[in-house]
Amino acid sequence: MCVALPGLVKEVRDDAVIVDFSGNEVTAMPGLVPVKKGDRVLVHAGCILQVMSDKEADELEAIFSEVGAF
Amino acid sequence: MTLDQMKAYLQGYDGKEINIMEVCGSHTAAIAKNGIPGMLSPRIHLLSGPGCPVCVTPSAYVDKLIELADSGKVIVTFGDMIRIPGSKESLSEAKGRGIRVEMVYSPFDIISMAKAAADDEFVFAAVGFETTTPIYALLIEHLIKEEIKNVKLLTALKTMPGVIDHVMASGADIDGFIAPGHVSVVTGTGIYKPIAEKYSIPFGVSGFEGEQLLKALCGIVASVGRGVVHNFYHEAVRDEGNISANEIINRYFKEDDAMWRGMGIIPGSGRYLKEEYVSFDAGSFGLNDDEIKNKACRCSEVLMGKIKPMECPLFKKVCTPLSPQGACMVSEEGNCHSYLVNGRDDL
Repeated sequence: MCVALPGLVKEVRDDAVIVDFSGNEVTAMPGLVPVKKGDRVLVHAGCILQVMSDKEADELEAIFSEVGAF
Repeated sequence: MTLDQMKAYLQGYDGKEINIMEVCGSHTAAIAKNGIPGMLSPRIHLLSGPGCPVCVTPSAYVDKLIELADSGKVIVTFGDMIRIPGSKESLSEAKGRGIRVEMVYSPFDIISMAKAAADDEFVFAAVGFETTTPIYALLIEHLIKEEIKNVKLLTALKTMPGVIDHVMASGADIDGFIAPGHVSVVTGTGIYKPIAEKYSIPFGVSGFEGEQLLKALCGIVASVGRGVVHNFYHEAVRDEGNISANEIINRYFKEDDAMWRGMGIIPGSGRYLKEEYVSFDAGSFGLNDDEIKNKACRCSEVLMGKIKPMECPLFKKVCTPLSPQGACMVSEEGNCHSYLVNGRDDL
């Protein structure tokens, strides 16, 4: 039930956002996070929950280095 | 660290036997879909937790929805909810004798329904965790703004920290948690820190792809015995969570105790509409009765990580997706349903 899927913002209207999911365009509600055209967003239950970032982190490398594994 | 290195680490682990719980029902489904159990050392055991919202909703809530429908109201719900057993029947069974139940993709669908049938009264079955709660808050905001008077919510909203603490306090043998990814999108990672430190257990916030889950498992296994929280889902989870979502939750909802199916009342683990918005509430308070349809059902122990689904005597015999005896066999995210349809037998 907590399923959320990533999609691409195609158009931002006053009270709705058009999000593309692999070719399927769906209307989603804005209101929980600012969005703009081209953002990759996470949509849950018809509402945009978060804008996805491209941030990659080396958390695992740091953990293994800290505990001396690998 | 490459995918092959992660798989080699998890397959080759030869330390003490460890149990890792995935709290979230979507993770349970993703673990099965990606064949993760088969990639792990026999010393790493995965347990499914209480993170399927409809699975932990007590029978009194279902009974109340049916009571509202019997009084003429239209129940609007996500599909997961309609087959959850009440004390006598499910919404689906009651629909068979004529009550009005509509399934929707989004809570916002109720707005157009309510506008199109102004003489009808609608009740949304507002079940969920932190992920879905801001969406219900946003719905209330729209109902107020658009002066829609024929929609109410029957809420069964729950929060994660209390139940995770409850699982640990009950004596479950757990060495680490895969923290729920989409709950964490809203809450941030800080909510797990007090529990991690209290029980000296690691949490790994994970996404839902196979590689993301393997990465989280590597981090958890490497951190066993330490009270730490690692975020392996940076693309969606900020440490502070979604601040706007939390603001709107706190504008409309307050915290209070909540009844968890099979687990009892957990203090402070629920959210209810504040007094000033109670006109939008359809009677959510005090729905604490929790009658089990089949007394042999062991859903509560499954949800607490004390047994695996196949250890329940009903599993795959009288309890199947076509004839669910307990809530865990209903939803695709339910532990028993996931184990059965995916053939998981990783005892």
